[in-house]
Amino acid sequence: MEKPHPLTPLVRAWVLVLAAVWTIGRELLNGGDGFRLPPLTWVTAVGAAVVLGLLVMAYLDWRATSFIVDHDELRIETGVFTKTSQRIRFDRIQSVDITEPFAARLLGLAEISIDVGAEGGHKLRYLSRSRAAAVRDYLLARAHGVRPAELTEHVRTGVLDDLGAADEVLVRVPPQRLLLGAVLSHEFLLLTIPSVVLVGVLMALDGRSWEAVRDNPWLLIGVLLPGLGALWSFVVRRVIGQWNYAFTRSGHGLKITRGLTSLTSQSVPRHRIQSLRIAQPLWWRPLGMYRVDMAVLGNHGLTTDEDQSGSNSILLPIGTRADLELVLATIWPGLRLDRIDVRPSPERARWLQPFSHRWVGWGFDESVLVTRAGWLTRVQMVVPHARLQSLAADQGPLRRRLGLATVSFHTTQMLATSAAKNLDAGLARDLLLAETARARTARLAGLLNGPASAG
Amino acid sequence: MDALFAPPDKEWRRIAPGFATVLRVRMLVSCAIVTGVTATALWFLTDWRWATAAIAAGVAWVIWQWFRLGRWVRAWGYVERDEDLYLTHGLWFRELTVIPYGRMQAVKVESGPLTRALGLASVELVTASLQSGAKIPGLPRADAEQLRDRLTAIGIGDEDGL
Repeated sequence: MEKPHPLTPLVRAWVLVLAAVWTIGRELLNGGDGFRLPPLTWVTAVGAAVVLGLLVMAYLDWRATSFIVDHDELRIETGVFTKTSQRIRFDRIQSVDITEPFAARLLGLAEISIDVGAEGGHKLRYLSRSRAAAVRDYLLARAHGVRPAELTEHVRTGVLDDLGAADEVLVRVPPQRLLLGAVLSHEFLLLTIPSVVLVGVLMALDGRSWEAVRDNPWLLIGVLLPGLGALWSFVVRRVIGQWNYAFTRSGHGLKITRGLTSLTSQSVPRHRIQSLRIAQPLWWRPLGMYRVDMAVLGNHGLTTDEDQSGSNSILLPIGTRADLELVLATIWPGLRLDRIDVRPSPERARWLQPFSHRWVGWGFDESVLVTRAGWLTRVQMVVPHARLQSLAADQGPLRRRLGLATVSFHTTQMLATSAAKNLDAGLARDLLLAETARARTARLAGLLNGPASAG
Repeated sequence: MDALFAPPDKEWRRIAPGFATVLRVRMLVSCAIVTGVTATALWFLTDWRWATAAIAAGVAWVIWQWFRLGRWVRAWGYVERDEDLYLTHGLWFRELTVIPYGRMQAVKVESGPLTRALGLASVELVTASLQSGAKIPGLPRADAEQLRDRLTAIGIGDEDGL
């Protein structure tokens, strides 16, 4: 029977504690002649009461929380007034993530999020970092069906990157590459270039504004403010959230560790990945870099840390071709992307896809189906046959005129569609029927071999 | 081009022709509202000739849609095979969808007030993908319930290997 770390209430209310400390400290510095409490007005009294109340609630909550590693389940007991006991069976555990929000990280604490499928995750707040790593390793081992001899007391992990001694790092993204990729990505260019051009044109056209800006540079902030919000969220998600990215094999599973202010250690559930999206924006082509996103079933493990990065869907933020191949081969062993023969669309499809005609195509091998689309960003969708939900062929009036059709492959991914675009109509029908058969065979093979191998 | 949308083995089973009545009524109501509002606005803002033109356009639309909806309903088809369900629909934008039985997670039978008055119902097949979008609109109620029972008996979701 174990309790979370005693400093937990402090972390939960850290903003208020910080504000209180700051206020008192300011009084001390301004007063100069000894410590005088701020005047007892309604505002300060209510404010102090609120802060104290929240601290007391956080303390009581900590007192009431405990967790037990039992024979075949983990029990978390919480609740000050209404007692709640959450039971988590080890074989239901899909993934376990460790997150260290900024305040927790300063104090050396971490939070564990357990994802058990569709009903939302369970969180354990906060344990010391080494204890959290030990609990995480134990839970993942039990989830894979292995029973370690004991729950090791502490597992030492690095401060900056949460990697244990026995972890094998497969792919690392150096910060320079991350920054370069972010600067050259479409979102960044779209967010900055129009604003810069607008300001430049305005200042060139009107001589007075140039002087006004020179005297008072803060005016520029006002003009750029709307774009700054979007830019900030982009920087946070893509740069700060992915800092020191490492794709690691750890014991029985795979994990991703990343993050600058909040360190996140996210386990990658190989068998629940429904499809992968490999993208290459225009300006990454000279560098030969790719980005991989994954669609995971039941990815509800959102954590609350300052940069909202939580458990997101980026598998590889930026990597070379070699990194890409390594990641793919680790997720789906035996997958060789360059061995797959990609068939292009017929020549007459050029009317419908003038810019992307050279890139568009589709192909398959025994386990996956690959479709290509996109013009400015070249996208490849990789879908295993066993993960296909349903298929559709469609043909609008233009395509009918040209004798073409598009076949769409439906997966659980919400944001992107996988489709073989603008094929010859006869081929489309053959593809539809053949892929249905392949998907069925793959599904049954997966069932026969057991759920662990249905990937 | 019809080779692409030919039924996989037998013939397409059609939905009830009475469903066209439901669609026509809906079309009439929405068209009446839009034309009424536009004509009134034009009557007060400009002169009566524009309003008449709007009404004439509305009437032309209604006539065109009246016949087109009949054809649209006749173009709807579905076939139950051993392991999957094929659906086809559309006049200008034709579609052919294949849904394996093992991927269906639920079957929903629904009918709004108008469809219920005509004794029809729609059958919706739910998979894990939001893109599947398979809904057979205007089946006679008995057929809809038998389809649902057959699909349930096959064992929806028995191939749970997600």
